[in-house]
Amino acid sequence: MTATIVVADDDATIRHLMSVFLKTLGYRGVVVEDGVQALAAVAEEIPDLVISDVHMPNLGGLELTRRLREDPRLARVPILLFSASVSQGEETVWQGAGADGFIAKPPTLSVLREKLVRMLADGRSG
Amino acid sequence: MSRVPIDEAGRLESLNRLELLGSAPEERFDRITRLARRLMGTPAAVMALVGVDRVWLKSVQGLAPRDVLRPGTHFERALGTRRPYAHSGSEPDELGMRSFAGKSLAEPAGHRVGVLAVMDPQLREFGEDDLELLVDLAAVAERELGRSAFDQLLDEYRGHATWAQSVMDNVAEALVTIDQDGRIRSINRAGVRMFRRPAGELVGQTVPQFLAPEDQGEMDRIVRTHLAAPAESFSVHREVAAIGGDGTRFPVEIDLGGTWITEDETMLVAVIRDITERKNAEARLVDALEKQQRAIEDLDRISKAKSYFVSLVGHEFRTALTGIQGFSELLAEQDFSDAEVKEFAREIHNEGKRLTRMISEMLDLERMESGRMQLNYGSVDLNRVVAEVADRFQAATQSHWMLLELEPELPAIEGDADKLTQVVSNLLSNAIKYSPNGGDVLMKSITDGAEVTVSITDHGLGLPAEALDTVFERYARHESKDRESITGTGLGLPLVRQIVEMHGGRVWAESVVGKGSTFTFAVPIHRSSA
Repeated sequence: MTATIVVADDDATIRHLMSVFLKTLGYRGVVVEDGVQALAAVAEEIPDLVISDVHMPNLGGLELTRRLREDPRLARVPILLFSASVSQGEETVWQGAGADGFIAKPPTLSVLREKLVRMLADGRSG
Repeated sequence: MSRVPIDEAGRLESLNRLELLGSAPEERFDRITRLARRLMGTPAAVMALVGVDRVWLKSVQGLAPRDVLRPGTHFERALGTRRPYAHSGSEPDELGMRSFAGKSLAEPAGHRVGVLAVMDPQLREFGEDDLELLVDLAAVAERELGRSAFDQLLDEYRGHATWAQSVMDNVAEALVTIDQDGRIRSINRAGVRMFRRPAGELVGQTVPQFLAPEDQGEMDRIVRTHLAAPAESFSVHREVAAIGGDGTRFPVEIDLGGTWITEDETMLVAVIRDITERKNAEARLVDALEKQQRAIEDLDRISKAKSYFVSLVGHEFRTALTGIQGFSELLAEQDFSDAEVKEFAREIHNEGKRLTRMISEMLDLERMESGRMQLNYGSVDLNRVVAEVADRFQAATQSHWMLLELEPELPAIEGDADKLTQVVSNLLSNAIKYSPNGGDVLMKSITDGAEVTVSITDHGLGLPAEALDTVFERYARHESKDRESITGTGLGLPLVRQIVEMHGGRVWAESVVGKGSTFTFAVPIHRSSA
């Protein structure tokens, strides 16, 4: 069964890129512009994984992670944060928020593939 | 004859103080000896002062003035008693006298220091009447001796007073004495200079009268309290403001001490120092410290802003690079349809342009700030600039509506059309970016004949007052919770300010948090010759 992945990013180019990436990797991508739209998307259909940008208008990636973790039905959904921020200590921040993984922008296809395969496997078994 | 033991030491001390031993004749004593000689009918009359071992004949009538040794003389015997002393004998004494009547003379303290005597080389008896007359004359002589003592005291007092006055007048501080009623009794020269009033205006008044109104109450209270009971070691120190005769205000420090001068009268002494210099020095020091503190804060702010800018630019660059790297990776690794390839290429191209724009903005600002950029002057219709920029942005958004309110008779200005377009673009881009919930953006132009003013008003997040000044500074993007998701290089507004100021104009912001912001720039119609 094809895994469904929700991707939230406010940058149109990156949304486009991620939808092509996911399609290329064989996943079904649901692409939204911010955290609020992401919450609406997961409410409609529980995805297998959520990828979210950290800095977005309305609702950012960290807050989105917290909200998702509060919902018992979504608690098991792996969350992968990605950000173009280069500041240090990013890792402790996303771990503190309850995310399962983090990749820095720009991501390469191979890094993304590896990360998604492992996180989806963990998510199913865990 | 009663002999009273004599306090010889005290007597001699008093005698010395009179400064009469060895002194020249004086009319005031000669008058008495003349009278004595005539009234007593004796050939000789003498007023003698009895020293340690000699007798000094201060005033002599009918006898050559001479020095007489004291021991065994009638003078010494007469000195030994308060009563009159008389002697007659066939053997002449050391002055060749056979008859002697004398009365000891006491100075005001009671010490017998001399003798008034009448003498006769012939034998004669002195009767009671004679001795009574001698006692009366001696009383007059004693009064004269008393006057000598008084003059002596007066001289001494004058000496002390002069000395005290010169001490008071030569100290740098104002010395003020305050009497029982709290009034100024005396003030020294330094005080007169300090208060810039003649002593007559100060004496008789109270100290609080010459202080600033806010300090009068407390000083009045202190003076009253301590006049009532001046403790031995009491001393009050206060820093207050004084008012000079010319109305100027100056800081002083007052040390107030007091003492009992009689059993029921007290006096206070105030030492007043003008501390203007010290205060100025303190103020300069505080000023310098504050300046230093501000400089440190500025440096700190700039350094924070720079590191923030670096992370911001890094974020923007990485976002653009994500598209370029990702799409090119896709093209390199997989086969896509022609349409897809074109689409990816367009994305790569756009992101490349985005990088270029960011880089040129940075370079522009750098060039302008270092004065290496020239404006390309021409005639610019700002209404057209506003309308074109509005159209361009309107085409890219559906959540915001550009409303134009343009002055129909707007004169063209002398300026750089490209740079002014950049100003309007940056301001409009911010207006849209910082009103994430959409809404109207009002763009207005007006003129007063000398300059053209363009304002752009949004209904967005707004800026707090403290951010309005710094928002035009380089790297000083205002941060707040609701803005953290909005990215930007922080170069837009500094660039706007640079361009507007190069045109001889100015730019400012007005805002209400939660209601929106208005950014306005005004540029002169004619470029200044400067």
